[in-house]
Amino acid sequence: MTDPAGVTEPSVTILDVGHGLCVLLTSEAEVTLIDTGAGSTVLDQLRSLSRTTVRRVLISHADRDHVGALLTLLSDDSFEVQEIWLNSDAFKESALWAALIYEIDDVERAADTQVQFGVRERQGFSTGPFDVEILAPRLRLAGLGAGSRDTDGRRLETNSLSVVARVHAHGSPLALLPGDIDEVGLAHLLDQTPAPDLYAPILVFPHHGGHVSRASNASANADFASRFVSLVRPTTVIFSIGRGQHGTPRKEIIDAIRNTVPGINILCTQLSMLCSSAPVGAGNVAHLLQAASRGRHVRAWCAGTIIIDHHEGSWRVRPSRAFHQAFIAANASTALCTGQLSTTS
Amino acid sequence: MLTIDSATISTVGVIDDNPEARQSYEWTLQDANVETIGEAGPLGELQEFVGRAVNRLDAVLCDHHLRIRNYSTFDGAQLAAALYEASIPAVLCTRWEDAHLDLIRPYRDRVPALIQWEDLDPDTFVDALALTIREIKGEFSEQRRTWRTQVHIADVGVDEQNEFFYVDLPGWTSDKVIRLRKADLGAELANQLKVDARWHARVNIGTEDAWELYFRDWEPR
Repeated sequence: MTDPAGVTEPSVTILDVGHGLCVLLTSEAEVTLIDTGAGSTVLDQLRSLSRTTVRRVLISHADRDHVGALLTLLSDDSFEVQEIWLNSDAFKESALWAALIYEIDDVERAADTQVQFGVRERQGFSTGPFDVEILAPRLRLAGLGAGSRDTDGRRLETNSLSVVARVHAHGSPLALLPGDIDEVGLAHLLDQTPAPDLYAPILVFPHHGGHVSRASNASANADFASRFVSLVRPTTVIFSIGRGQHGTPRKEIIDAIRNTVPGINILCTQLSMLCSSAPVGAGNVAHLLQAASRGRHVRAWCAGTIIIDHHEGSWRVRPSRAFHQAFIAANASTALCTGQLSTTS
Repeated sequence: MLTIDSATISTVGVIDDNPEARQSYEWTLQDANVETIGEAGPLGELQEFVGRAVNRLDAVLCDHHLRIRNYSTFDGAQLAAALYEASIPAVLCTRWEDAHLDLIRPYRDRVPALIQWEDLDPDTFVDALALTIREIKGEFSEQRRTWRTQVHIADVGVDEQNEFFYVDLPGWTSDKVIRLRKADLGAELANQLKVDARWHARVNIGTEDAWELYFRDWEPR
């Protein structure tokens, strides 16, 4: 028995790009990308969908794992990108930023692509049945820029300025995509009266479940995670991770989420080394969807590419919980999402 | 006999200058249910050898480092690429993949599969053969398909012989620097190399491994 396979429309696809993020909003009329990951996974996915035109690319922030593949999307003649939304960030990775700006300049001058610098709260767009609401960064953060300090003396990192996008489907919140937002970015997001409602049934957890606090300690990470899911109130939390990279998702973050929302559905795109150090058996693919997945070639998958589609009047997450849990039971002897909870969280 | 994607593989040529290594390869391949022909050498000229292989061999397994004891006038990567052009699937199996990476990489557009010597077994051989057969038919895996992407010239001619240039790929998953031979660009393009220039080329950026990368269709700017 296999989970229903492939991409249906409309859908939200969290592509397994390894450590990084790429989300496709796909409708019959158009495809919009929120981040692109790096490498070729998004190109392979678009190719398999026979989509050569990308209506819009929204970049959360200018880290390679979120923006790298945009360079190739713009370079390769197979694709047309009609619109790019991004914030300037010459701070964190100047070489990558220069590479991207040169490529964007080329396509913009050829009048193929419209470029919007300055993405911030209260902007948004519609694509198919989806409305994308930009909740962050605030104008003051976008204006100060990465590398500067806020009035409380806190240094603004690239992650602090992450675009936070909430995807509504048919008028209701569906998914929150907070990029790599950290505690400083979140503090600025919430620093208004009334504080914005972040509710979404599906949350793609920030920074792949890595350090989200400046203190970079377990307690601060757990506090952030607990607070974040309390604000978003999701029923499903997704981690877009690369197996063996950066030790994600961190155990204290998973434990804090499970303690805050008991019974919550947690999926990682790839199998964390913390859940099993043994390679995934080649035959354990019953739950994987027919979609590009970077972990598939190197036997690194957990949920693999995740698709949220509209089925019988409601939105469902695939692979389904039952299929995913069956995979976990067979392959992840120390699974963070189902194993013993830490008593300190 | 093997059937892979409707291609029948009965006879596999085994090419290595070392008779003991050749014999060892033959035993391994026989476990994959194919007949083997060990090529004792000398192999003669490249195109002559390819011409002789066309009606005699369904596939080839060869080492890279063949220019020893007059065994061959060409390298294994050169041979595998020429066989690929003649639609004969060839798998490179070598322990020279690191030492001779600069010499092997220019042929990787036509050498889909490189097995490290210690990894050769019947299963890895059949997998490599299948990859090669599919590619000859025009079906590329995600790790082998090329995309036009930006190539940043990180440095040029810092070695004594002024033989190499160095690139990184901003669109790839890693910021590793890759060393390439200027000679493989041709003189006209090599003369245009400048540090920090941003060229384009078609590169298989779906691969995870730097040693699997190959480049073609260079476009300077």
